[in-house]
Amino acid sequence: MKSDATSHDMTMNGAAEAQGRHAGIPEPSRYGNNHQLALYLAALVIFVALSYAVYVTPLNLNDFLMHLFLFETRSLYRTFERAFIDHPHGPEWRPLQLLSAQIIYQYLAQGYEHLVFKGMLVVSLCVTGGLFVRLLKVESWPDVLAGVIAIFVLVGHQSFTGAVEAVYPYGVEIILVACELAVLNILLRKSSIASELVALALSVFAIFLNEKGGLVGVTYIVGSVLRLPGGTLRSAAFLFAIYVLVVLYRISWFKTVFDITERSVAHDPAGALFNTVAPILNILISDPRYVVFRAIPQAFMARPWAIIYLASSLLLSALIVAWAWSNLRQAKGTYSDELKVAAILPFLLLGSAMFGPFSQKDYIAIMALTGYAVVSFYALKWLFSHTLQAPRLATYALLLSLGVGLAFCWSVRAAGLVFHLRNASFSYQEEWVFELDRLGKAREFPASVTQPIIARLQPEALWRPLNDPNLIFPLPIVRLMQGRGCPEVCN
Amino acid sequence: MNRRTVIFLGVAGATPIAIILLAVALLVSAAIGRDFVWRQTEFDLGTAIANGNPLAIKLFAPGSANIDTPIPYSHPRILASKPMQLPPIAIALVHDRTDVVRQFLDAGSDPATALGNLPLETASALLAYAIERQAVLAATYLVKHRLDPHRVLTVDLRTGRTELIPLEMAIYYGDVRTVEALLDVADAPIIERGLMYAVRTEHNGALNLILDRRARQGTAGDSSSGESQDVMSRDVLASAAALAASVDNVSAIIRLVKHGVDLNAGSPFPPICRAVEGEHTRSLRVILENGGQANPPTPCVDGLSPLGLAVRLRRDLAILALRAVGAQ
Repeated sequence: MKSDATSHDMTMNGAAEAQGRHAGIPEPSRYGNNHQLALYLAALVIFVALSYAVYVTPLNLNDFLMHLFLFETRSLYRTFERAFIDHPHGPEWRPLQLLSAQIIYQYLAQGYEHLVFKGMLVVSLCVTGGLFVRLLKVESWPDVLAGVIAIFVLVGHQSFTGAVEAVYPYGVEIILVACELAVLNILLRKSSIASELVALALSVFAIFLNEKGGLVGVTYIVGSVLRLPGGTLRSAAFLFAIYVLVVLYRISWFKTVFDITERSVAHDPAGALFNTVAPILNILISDPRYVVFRAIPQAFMARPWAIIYLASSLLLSALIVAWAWSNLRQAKGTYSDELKVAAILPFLLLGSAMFGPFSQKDYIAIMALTGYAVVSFYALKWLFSHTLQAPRLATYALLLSLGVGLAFCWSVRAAGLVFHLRNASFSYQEEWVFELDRLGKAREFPASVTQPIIARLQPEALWRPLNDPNLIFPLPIVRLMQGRGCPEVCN
Repeated sequence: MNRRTVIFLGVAGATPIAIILLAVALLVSAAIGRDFVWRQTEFDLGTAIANGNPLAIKLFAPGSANIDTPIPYSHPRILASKPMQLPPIAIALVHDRTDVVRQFLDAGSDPATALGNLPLETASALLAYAIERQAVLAATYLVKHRLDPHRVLTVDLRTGRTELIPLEMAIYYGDVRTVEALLDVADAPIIERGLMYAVRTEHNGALNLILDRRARQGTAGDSSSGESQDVMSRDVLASAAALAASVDNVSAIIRLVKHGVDLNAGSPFPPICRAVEGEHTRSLRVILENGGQANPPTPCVDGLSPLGLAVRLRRDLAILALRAVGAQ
């Protein structure tokens, strides 16, 4: 375990500033050790396998097909106008989302929809994996294990599901996650004009792509204020100003404050408050799911998936708190970069909570998940270090049990993602057959528009003879893996 | 690494390593086309139909215009994976998915149109595969709508590559239902050829089918016209008996006798001559026990009696058997 005062550390006093604020930044050579290479290799296997699982999953019908119909009937200029102008209704909250989708469709994907949209998802996934592992600095085999488990935390958390399902319209969540990880990487390296510009560009792009992307900028601003090496107050202030303008511009969409509350799913104050807190709890304890407590009651009924979800999240969150508390007590005014990254996490959780009243999906808090996964790596590294240095055998055994439990539970959760994708493939196929009108909105567009697209995409979606995985896999495996399928199967 | 670290990595790392190995296995299985998670073997709609995937079948909703439109399909046992264009119903037929065929028919598929346009080579290959897989409906439809029952199929049997007509092939694979279905669409020459094949290859189940059918049709003829209307000439049956004697198919001889075959007739020689020629003493005994004469009215080759033939050919066992019944 690296001391808090080693290379990553950064003092906040004037002397350090005078010596150059980034004097403690690690040399590139320490990135090139064998352990780091091993972690990259493990990540490569995990993300390539996941990419394969993602690629062979059919394009989803719901939220995707109708947009292709839309792009066939609406000009690019009209989409641009609706995204950024559209008086008197005001611009879109997500101006780049449909606009980018239409550009991709018209100029790249037409006729090759699966290849292009799934290909984009795969590339985004691999970039995400690379950027995430780049944040995990390892120096020993226990560190590598902590890194692997942290990867499992990222992909094994139910919030990550939305990133690989690519639901609306082509999967922007994974792009937002990649942007956030890129900004975190920038914050942890030496600052330069280029890196500042890239961070600004990513932050602005992310908030225009999707409102959740606003948390990319929040990450950069908070990281800069906390004086992480890659951030500057100058660029943070600039970005803050841009974000204020964006929010003001967007807030004009609502005539009054009451419009916002009307858009909330729950109209009573208690319900709205619960919905606000729900994304935070969803990240920290994996419950509630879709604003209903599901794992806790099912854990009392001894359902394996619920026990795994609850135990893994509770233990990991408690470990993070213990690690942060321990480090804070030892910090004595000098805070490590790891602690500063951890300090961003509450902002990400609070930011995600803002979206809670408007949507209950698991992936609403996906931006907080990235921070949670990175911080979990620090906490796991700390746990493993303490395990190996435990003075007594009993302590060693206890901490080892904790490590084994976390490793097991998060491994199962990560494997559950592939099971879930298999499930999704089957249900997507069902949708392509039975739900063309309802979910694909096929009847709302002229047949001359819908039929060629359906004729092209439907056989592609159905060419694999798939069966319901719940019937194929042994029941114990199903019971272990089914935790992703909320709200359908975890009720 | 000290012992604690090794134990730690071994115990705590077990499941993460297992998951990584599973990921490797997934990729390897996908790379070699044996995906154990997705269970995909061939990426095409045709395979989905062949597997009875209900979702793929639902694509062809009632009244849909594309119900009989050929789709790409290939199969390792049909034309050696050569790409084909088959109507969906043909794929369902050759894989004996009668439930799927029923759905396609309900959806408006017309087998006459769908199968009638198949290239001959493709139709022949499908028929051969269907008979081998005992896909009765496919065999019937293909013979009815596309192929002449006389069409010679080149097939690889255990005995080597050979040429058979559909009925012979069905007899070879021994599926009663397929034989019956093909007999339904067969004319007299086909049935005669099937009879001879069944006798020669000792497929006595098929022989029974053919003979029983002859008997039934003969009875039907009696009731309608008032006189016996033999659908298979007695000469043919006598020839079959002679063939049975030459291959020592005793069961066939007995069966033919029960259907009224005269063991003393035969063209050019009666069965007893064939039994002597092959020194098939079992057949010889059965012939003699079932009305066959040791000195039949029609002589064997060169005007010889059966005993004379046996002496000329030095068939000692036949000589003994014939002398025992007083043959001259």
